[in-house]
Amino acid sequence: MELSAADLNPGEYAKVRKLTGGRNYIARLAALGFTIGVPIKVMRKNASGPMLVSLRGTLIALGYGEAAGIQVNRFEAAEETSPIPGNAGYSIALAGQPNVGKSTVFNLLTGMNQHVGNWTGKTVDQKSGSFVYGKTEYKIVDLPGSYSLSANSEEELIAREYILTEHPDLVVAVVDAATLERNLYLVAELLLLPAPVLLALNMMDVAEKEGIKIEPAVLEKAIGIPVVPMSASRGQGVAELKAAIEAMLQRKMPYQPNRPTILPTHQPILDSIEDMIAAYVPETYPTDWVALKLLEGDEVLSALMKSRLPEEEWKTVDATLYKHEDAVLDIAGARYQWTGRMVRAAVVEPSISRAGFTTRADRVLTHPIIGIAVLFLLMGGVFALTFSIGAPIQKYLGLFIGGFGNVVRGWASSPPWLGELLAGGVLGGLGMVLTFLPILAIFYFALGLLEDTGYMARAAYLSDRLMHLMGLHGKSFMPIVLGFGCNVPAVLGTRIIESKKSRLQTALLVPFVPCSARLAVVSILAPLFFGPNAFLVTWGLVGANMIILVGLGLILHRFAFEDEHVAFIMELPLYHLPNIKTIGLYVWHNLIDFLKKAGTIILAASLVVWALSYFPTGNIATSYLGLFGQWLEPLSRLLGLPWQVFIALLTSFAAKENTVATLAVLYGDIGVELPAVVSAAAALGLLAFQMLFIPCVGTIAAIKQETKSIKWTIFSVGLMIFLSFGAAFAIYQIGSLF
Amino acid sequence: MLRKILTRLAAGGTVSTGGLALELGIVPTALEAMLARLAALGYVEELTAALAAACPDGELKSCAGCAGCGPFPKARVWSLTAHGRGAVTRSVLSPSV
Repeated sequence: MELSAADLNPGEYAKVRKLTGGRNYIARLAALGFTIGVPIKVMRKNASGPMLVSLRGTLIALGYGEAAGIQVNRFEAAEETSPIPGNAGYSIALAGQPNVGKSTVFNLLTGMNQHVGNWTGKTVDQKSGSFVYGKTEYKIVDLPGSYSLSANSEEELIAREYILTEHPDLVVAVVDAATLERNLYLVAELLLLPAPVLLALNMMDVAEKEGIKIEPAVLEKAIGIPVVPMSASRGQGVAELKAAIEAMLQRKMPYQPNRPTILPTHQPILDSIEDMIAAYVPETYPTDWVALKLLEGDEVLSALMKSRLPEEEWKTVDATLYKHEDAVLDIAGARYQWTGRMVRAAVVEPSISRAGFTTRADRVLTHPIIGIAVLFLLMGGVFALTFSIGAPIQKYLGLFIGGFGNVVRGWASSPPWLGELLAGGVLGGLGMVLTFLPILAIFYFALGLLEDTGYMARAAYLSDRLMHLMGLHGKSFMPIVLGFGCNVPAVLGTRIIESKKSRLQTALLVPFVPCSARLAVVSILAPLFFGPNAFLVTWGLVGANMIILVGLGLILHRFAFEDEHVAFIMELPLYHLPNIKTIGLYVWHNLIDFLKKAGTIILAASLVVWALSYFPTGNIATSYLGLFGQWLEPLSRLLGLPWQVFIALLTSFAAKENTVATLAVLYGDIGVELPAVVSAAAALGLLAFQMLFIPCVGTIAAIKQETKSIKWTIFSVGLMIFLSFGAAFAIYQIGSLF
Repeated sequence: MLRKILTRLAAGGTVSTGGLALELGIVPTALEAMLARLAALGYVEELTAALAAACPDGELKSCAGCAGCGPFPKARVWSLTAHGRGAVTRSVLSPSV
């Protein structure tokens, strides 16, 4: 027979085994200090009037109805080595989402009195400690950071299991005042558990800096639980927190939590589930909470209840849950509405200045027509900046390298090939590529500037509209946008597309997206042929490339794409002033990586090209490369290019920058020599070839990896060769007519 | 509120978090928290996370010299999953629960 506190006689000791009744009732008892495992002693019991119970050194008056809801196990006073002490100490759980300053609060409370271990059977750290306030010791456990009390992660499971099984006397919920609406979701869940909750409103200084004004007293009244404002990183609010903890545990503070509610239509369903599972819920778990979690689809609790209920009864429960499988949307939605109400009550002036500017700017910059026009203008601006500042610096560096090369030839004249190797192979190839560092630096600076301000996200947003033109309504837009940076991760990114056909066709399109390496090489070559018009030419080439990309996409879509029609929500970060250090690091890292590539692939290619163009005779026309080039000449003449230039285009297969290195090895001063042997029409064709030819060997490897098909890889390579050659041919042939 | 997000996604078209937050009358950070919740529940998926898994480094961090991530580390993208599309259909068929 179950024993309740109402059954005890004066002088008897017992320990609380379970609290029964509605949620509000249980919470009231918990707030009074009646938690599982706490010892009590009946001090007085009359026929009429409340009974007096000693609990944690305090006398509590309980009505018999209240006492009947407290199920207990008797114990003999002899089982305890001493009578119930006046200040038995309290246990506190510190809960909160990640990155709210919970560890800082914990460290400030416990100082050196802390211990780090592991949660039993888990890899997650457990930090526990204690502090003394007044004459009372408070044991505190720092729960793992968790966004909610669902079974989504090990951390969340540990947090809720601790509260449910260890029955802390108090839960201190640490929240970030600067992101209150997000943080209060966990508080909404904590309020559903028996343990009383105190809110530590941390990072008030951060909120203030962001222009967010919060009125803690209003928040306290709205939620119905104590709220302590803090700035833990500055050591502010700790004394107030300790005082509030003491007052709360000694029941000197009001505690009437305003909990989120569920839809009225769900209450009968919840009640029926509760009735079905009540007899089988573990003692330490509140039945109504378990029922709610089952309705939310909590997998861990579902498995637990399935193992405890008889099969037939579980089937009934499961059928009910299946019928309302999306109830979690309403339950979680109600919590968000609750957090929204709390925030609207207490947040006086949310920061809108940066948000307001972003909204106004995006009206223009994400406009379907104006936005795309601005995007193209900005791209033109990037090229204009690159050429106007970078090209003159490059020219002087080129003269220096060329002059230095002649000096080296003179020094290392014996044997003759040594001087040529150093001057022509190393300095000529690798050295010439290095002279383009200023152009690359300006180019990456401009890109970094656009990215750091937040504009590049808008470019991606607009790209989705462009993709619609190609008939790409699905996830393909993301790998294609990645392709503007580098085609390799773009091809790998096609993995996110579910349809095999769409995945394949996106992989075929990605190599035609102008990657940053292609743009960099075109930026280097264009000024050699077109001088001050270089930025117009480059800009035009990018535009034409996009037209080819759209055209190819339309063709593929017509014959093979499936119409996915997927909608997206895209995060557009707030615009902010660019950080010069961030941009500087971006430029630096990209240049360092370019230098690494230059020192390996490009140097190797330069030496190979030099050797093939020097040996066996020392004369390029009769060298190995010369013989091969003359064999290719009929093809290169179709494009109006000397075989040397054609060879240079082919070497871009290993790395795009090899084109420049190879030209420098074969021609020396390319700024002077190239314009003399390549007409404007052929130069334009050359640049178009560069834009459409195989991006690099890495892209081909990625295509093979993702398609798992040699056939499609060969098809892709063939398509790139066909389009690049075809475009260069058409441009040269038509251009030569003028 | 969560159902409204799913319904909006099912309606089609690309919308920014700022734009959708305005439509729903909430702040963008709250919307992002709801999207994270919906992703945890399997109704939406964050595509940038899926892209990161495809990257050899396992995360989109704009590696030096790769420049392959472009805008995406900062600009997350969400879309409906099949489960999410099913939920919208079920909502239409049984609007009361």
